[in-house]
Amino acid sequence: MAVIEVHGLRKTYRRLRGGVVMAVDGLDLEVPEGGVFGFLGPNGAGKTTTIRCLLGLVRASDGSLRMLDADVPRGLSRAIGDVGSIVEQPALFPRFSGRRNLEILARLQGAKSADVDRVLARVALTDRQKDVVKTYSLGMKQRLGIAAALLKDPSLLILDEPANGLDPAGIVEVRELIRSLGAEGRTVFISSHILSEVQQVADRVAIIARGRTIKAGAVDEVLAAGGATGVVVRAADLGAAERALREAGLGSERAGDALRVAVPPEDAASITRALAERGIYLSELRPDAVDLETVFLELTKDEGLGS
Amino acid sequence: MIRLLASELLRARSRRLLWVAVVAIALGIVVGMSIAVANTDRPTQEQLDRAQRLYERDLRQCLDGQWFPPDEPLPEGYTSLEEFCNDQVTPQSYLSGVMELSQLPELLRGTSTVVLLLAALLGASLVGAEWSAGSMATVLAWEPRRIRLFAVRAAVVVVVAVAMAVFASVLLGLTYRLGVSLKGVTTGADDWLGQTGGVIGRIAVLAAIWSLFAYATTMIARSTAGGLGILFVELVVIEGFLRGLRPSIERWVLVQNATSWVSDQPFAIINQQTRQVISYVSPTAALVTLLVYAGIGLVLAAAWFRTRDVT
Repeated sequence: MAVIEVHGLRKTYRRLRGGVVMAVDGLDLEVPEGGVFGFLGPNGAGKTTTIRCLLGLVRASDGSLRMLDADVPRGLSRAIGDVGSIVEQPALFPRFSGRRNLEILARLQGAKSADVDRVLARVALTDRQKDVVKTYSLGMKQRLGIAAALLKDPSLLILDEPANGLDPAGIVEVRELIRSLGAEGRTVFISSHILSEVQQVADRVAIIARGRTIKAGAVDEVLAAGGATGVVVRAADLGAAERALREAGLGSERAGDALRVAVPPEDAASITRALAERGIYLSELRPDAVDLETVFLELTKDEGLGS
Repeated sequence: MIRLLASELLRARSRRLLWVAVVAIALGIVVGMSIAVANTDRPTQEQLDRAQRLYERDLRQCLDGQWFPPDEPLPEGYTSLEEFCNDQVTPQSYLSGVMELSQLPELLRGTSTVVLLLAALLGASLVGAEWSAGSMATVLAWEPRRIRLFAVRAAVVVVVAVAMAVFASVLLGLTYRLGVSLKGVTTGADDWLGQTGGVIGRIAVLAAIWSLFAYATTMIARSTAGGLGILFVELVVIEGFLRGLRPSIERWVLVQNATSWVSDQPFAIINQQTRQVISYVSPTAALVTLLVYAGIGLVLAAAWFRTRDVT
């Protein structure tokens, strides 16, 4: 079952000085239930606008949106109680304490003080709960935003750029949090342009550019689409290995202290055979995995966004 | 709906501006009244007797019809000469520089402008800060029914404005009563409590309306400064311009109607050529006019809020 279904979503903005900006241009998206879903794209690709449309903050110019079996925006009020979200920066009152911000939202949900304690502990902010939010670091604000989203104990979490502006320690904290939330059976929908981060936590991804979906599916499938066509070989004598492969008709090139052989991973046996016949034994043999960043650049090349 | 109201009340209660206003009002009233009491002397018996004599003389003259030509009708709102004279000739007019309990309603009316400005500031700030902090999007991600949110916020704004108006007026009344006990007189103030209560009620109603004006303009402008700016332009620039350009338009001017309501006095519509009174607008009619304006403002703001994107 899809928890988010978007079909043909379009959103245009009128410029003050005339003309129209197309923020989302016929986007299609299906997010299955459970796990972490990465919504990827460069800045300005339409990620935040799509999320705003899903949350009813922005009206779609065209297309249909459904979330947790409710039409958006008409039936949004039925579903929203089960959706926790952060859009861009968590927007909370800077002069209120972290706890007071959560208490205000908790009353909306009918949540108890114990629920506020629970989510504060979950994001490790118990010690700073009485401090005003304006004294929080960016990472703490982000965690407070996640705590606010968790107050609903939601089955669907929508987090827009949760790692934005965080230091490395903050990124690790948020990553672990997202991973654990996904492991609990919730659906975590995260948008990001930091692809390496998403690759570490997401089960499935959708890549968008210029307001359109370019590729969507399980992370492995998307990576495969990016062309994981090589095999990395490591041996004690790289020069000998290189010669042996050349003699066997297998092209290779140096990649640091390894060789990259241009054969599909499923034909790796031809490499081991060629080297073993010449008395060269491998210390490592693995598919030359491409990362999401490479795939993304490859896929968006035609959109004028790639390198 | 109850949860939303509870949440919004907690949000309003948590605003520092609210408590700064409470402290400023309390301090201002206590300090001001202390200075007033320190600079006042209790009148002597001779002064009181003289004032009583003058009062009785003027009242008699008025009742004898000496204040009106025989063929001239009574002003709007009066049904008898006795009613008119009792209203116009009052004992407190014959003592000056003295704290009189009977003057308390007038004092409250005089200070109502400050209360109304505060009500407008609160009405604008309670929602303007939300736009500035960007937390409107957060709230909408919890309660996407915008009209419901708009209505609850309006109710909270009214509650806060009325509470503030009543607090300021009651505190002023209590400190004045204390001042009168120390150095003033209570002559001619048999119904001071009822009259004071009536004035406080009128100020509270007007504070509610004023806060709603500010709320509506702020929801349209999406900032406190913008909302108050629109209100300022309407009250000072547009109304001032229109009144100067076409005095007969006074019937529809906010300030005129507000003054009529809070003073509980009708105001006259005058033909500028003949200088004749065309009609009078009663305080109740003035209130209805203000309520209609507030209603129009709220409907416009709600429609604007419902249809515009929150980014």
